[in-house]
Amino acid sequence: MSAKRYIIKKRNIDMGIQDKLVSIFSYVIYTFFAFVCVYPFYYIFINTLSANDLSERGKVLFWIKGLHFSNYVNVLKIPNLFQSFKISIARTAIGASLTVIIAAFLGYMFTRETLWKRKLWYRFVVATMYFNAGIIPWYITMRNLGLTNNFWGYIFPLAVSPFYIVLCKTFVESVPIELQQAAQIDGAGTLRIFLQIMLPVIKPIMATIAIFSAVQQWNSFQDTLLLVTDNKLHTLQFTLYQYINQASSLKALVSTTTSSTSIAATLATAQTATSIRMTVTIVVVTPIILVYPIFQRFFIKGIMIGAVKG
Amino acid sequence: MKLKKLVSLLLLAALLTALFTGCKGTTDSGATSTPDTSVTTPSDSTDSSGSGGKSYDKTLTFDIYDVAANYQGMQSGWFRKVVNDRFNIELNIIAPQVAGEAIYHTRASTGNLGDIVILENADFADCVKTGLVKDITNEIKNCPNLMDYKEQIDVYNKNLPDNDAGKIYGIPCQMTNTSPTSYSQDVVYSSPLLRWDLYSELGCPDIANLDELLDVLAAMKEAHPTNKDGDPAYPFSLWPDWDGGDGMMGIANVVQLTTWYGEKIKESLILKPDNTFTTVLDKNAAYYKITKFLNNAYRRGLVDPDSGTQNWDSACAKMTAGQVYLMWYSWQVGFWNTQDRLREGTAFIYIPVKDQLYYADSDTYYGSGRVFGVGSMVDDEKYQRIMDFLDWYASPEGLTFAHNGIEGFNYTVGADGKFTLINDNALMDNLPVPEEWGGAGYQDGNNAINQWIVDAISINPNTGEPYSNQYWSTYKQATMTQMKREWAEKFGAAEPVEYMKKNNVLIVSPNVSVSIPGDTPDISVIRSQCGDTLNDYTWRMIFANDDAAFDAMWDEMTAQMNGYGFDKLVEYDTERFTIELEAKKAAMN
Amino acid sequence: MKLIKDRKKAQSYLEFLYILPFILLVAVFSYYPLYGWVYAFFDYKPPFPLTMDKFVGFKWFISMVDNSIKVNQLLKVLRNTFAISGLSLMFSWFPMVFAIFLNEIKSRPYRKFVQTVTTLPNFISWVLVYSIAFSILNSTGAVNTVLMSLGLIDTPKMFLQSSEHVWFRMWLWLTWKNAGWAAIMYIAAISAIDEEMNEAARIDGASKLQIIWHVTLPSLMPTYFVLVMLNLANFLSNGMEQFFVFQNAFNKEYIQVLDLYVYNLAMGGGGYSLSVAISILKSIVSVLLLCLTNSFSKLVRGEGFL
Repeated sequence: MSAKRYIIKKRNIDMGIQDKLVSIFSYVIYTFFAFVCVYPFYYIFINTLSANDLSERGKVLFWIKGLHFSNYVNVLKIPNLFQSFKISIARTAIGASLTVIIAAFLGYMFTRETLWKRKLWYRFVVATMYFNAGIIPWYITMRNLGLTNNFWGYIFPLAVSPFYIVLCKTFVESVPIELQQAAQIDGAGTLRIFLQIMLPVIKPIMATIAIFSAVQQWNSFQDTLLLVTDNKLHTLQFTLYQYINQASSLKALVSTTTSSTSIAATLATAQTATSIRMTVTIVVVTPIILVYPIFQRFFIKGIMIGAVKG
Repeated sequence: MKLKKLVSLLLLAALLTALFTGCKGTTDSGATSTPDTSVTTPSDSTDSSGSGGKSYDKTLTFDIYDVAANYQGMQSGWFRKVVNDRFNIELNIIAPQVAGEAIYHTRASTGNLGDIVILENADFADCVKTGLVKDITNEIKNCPNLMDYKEQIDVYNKNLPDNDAGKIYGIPCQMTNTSPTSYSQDVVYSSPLLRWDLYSELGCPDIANLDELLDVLAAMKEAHPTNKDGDPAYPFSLWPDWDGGDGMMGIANVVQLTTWYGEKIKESLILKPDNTFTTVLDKNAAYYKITKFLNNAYRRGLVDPDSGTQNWDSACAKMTAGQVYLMWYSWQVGFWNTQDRLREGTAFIYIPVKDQLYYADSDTYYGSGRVFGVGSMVDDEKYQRIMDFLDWYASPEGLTFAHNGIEGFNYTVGADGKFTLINDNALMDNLPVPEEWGGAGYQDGNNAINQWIVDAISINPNTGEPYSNQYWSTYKQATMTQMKREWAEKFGAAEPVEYMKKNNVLIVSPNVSVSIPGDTPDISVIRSQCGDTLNDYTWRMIFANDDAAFDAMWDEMTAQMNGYGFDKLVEYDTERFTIELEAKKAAMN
Repeated sequence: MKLIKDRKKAQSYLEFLYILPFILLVAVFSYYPLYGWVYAFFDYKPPFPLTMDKFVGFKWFISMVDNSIKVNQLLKVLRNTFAISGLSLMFSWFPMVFAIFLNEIKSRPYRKFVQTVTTLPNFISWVLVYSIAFSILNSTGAVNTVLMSLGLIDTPKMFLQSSEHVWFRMWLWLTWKNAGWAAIMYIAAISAIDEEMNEAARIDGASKLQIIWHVTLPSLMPTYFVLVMLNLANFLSNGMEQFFVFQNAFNKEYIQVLDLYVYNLAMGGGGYSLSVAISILKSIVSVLLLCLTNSFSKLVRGEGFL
């Protein structure tokens, strides 16, 4: 009796040490990784506030040199900035909500054994991940559907997203089947099971997909390039991309068209393509970082499946 | 429950933003959308345009497909006000430089590039063939300003394939009112440029050839291994990110330097001073010679070790910081030369190398290779307005706006009618433009078309001087410095080109208007494979450690390019450029 | 009996009706444009429309391999693609392990902090990544300055120009950029593990590592498995931006992956047909791989993932 007790105790102590080690190890590794990830961002940040000529020559590594705010002031002065910001928010909110809801619904539907030709349709959707039709037929399709110069051109093509559907389906499959069966016996239909039973359980994966698709929508500007000629529908990313583009050609423009004496004089504050790119990065990422914690809340263990079962 | 919160939050956000932004459905890019500005009063638009009597009641939006533009979207700011006051139009620029080549594919496939198109010659000819461009033969006759360039326009259009009838489709860009064989600029596009102070320090030695140029540069580096801040300085700092642009084959830095020996690279060919062609792979031609020259420089430690990996912005930063001792583009000096440095005598200036023979393309009398056209889908009302606009764009008034900006803001007019430059940093510093001229920053409102029908070297009939402000007499007076005087005294000429002409070391290749066919799909694939190979090997050869390695790489490269079908490419290019060469020969006689 | 059967059938059609609108969306946006694959069989050059006289059959497919130099080039490109895809597959467990051990950090604010900042690199564009890399790694950059002053090297090392360990270095960059972001999926999956199971294991006296091994890992496996399978089918696609910004004349032999190769090739503008041809081949390979991995999964797990 006492011998057995001793063994258990010893094991507990060993395990305590082991757990401690795991803990310490995690802290060390993650601190290192966090540093490696934070530093470049810090680097970008201090460079946007430093004299651009020093920055361009890689002289700004640890702290701000030659503080100035003209990079940010110039970004704020971009014409059409506010309008394109609104469009970006709209496409992100509407686009991501739609993608998430569809992914959750289809992810759930594709687990229903009763669905007619379930496997076929699932494969039909998943296979599109690997198809690329080329830019010309895509454009012609969008045009025929009236989705050029149209806000919904940002939304519909991305609405049914196979990757997210796969993620959702995998998640739904991990939910104990008894949960559905119980509801079915109670007489709940397909849609009611989805709305009342499934949605609460798959919250974490929905939050994940919401983040992924929101960022995808927020960052996307290729579609604007090809589909939209109307300034009112320009997105923030497009406006900023354009701004970067213009700045990098500005130097070439100046050097060929105007008097050669004017370039060097103002270089400390004159923007370079890199300084603009960095400023734009900060401007674009800040909203994401601000919104991120809202989604993070859904990762924290809120509900236990057991609780739902009960 | 948290979930309900999430869903309702998302939906609420979606709804709010939808309401907030009005969530437009299809907004027609046509005449209906007027940007929110209040200034337009069509009534005063007619007086100054010279196309008098027409009323422009309805605001029209021109979609301009523009290969020269680096901005996509609506023209705003001062230039918008200029054209809007005159024609009640908005300019909506579609820029393949921004949107990528794909936008040409997609728009061309639907049969409507834009209301106005600005294209490279070869693409333009294709678009004429496929009916994307309108025949403007009749209407252009009513455009007095464009008719000043009737000869050039006629010559260009006659050369379009299948156009023996001489119909007019396109208006060449950058035409001049000088002559097809004259060279009006003071400098050539590429020539060796050295720091005057460092050169004087060495006692202004005569430089006979490239080896002696390296000697001089090595001496400079020895005397000044760093700039004032202590950063390492090198005579050469190269950058790879311009390679393969502009349909070049070979790396950008080498391609330009071949013109120091009178040899001009035409895609896979080299045009030699005796008007014959050879290929870029010819070991006796300039591409080899210049690559070797850069390799020699590298082996003597004169090349910035970061040359192969840095981008243009980094290279520029070094030029500006004084870490570079040799420049070769005429505009490159702009990154160092300031009024102060010109006065101190520390600026860059052309230093002759005795065995060199410079190649320069003459004034672009017949145009620079791009063309304006009108899209075939425009309706009559828009068509008329487009022609009025283009005519104005080629008029002295339009050109002064396009090249010089706003009177009172960018220049002043003296009692003798001559212009004097003011606010010369307007573009670079995006100076605020007063509200009466359209407000916003100068650069924000700068002409987004970024392409001119008439070149800046042309003479402005109102001043008798070129449009380009560097050739204004007031500007020349302001920039005459001690250094310039010393230079003129030593070399017996006021400007570099004058020196070259006096010493007979300048080949001016006449400007001709021919249409050179574009690539077939096969050729374009061969071209990009050969071009990539040539670029990669050239860089590695510049960094070769000895002659044996250099030559081994050259042979390997030759074999590889032949494998891709280089001979087919040469054959094709020879055929194309012979057309141009014959025309040039004809123009010389 | 028949009634029940009919009702079941009706139910199954009804459920199909629910998903029909989305199936239609997929058909319109993903399947309908596939008619554009015909471009691969023509000599297409904008703005000329496709006409039968430009039909060239399989010319573009054959042109990739019609002489030994091109075959060599293509083999090299495939070697690089395989190496880089292989490396990422080999280490595909990394984001999952990252998420698992992140969960072991007990301090909640710190965990949130790490989780947030490790996603930051995902938002830095590759172009910008390169300019940061350049300013730190160039001949006078911080790394060389430190190494030189420590006397470890006597001439600056040209990190970006070097052709050594290109694949591994590219993998490092990619992991740095993506690991934190990809971990989000697993973090979500971890948070869905039934807390009762952890509790039960703990009462049984299991150590942390044991809990991870017996509870956490098995719950994450389905997600991991599906992601690996999907990635495997994507073997030939590495994307091209990363390799485009890091490529230079000196490392191109090792860095040129298929996507970059196609981009470099099609840049001239006339390469549209060729790039469509390559993308058709890629789609076929992907679908084949998808079928293969699915049967493999049936063999191993007793069920396919599709």
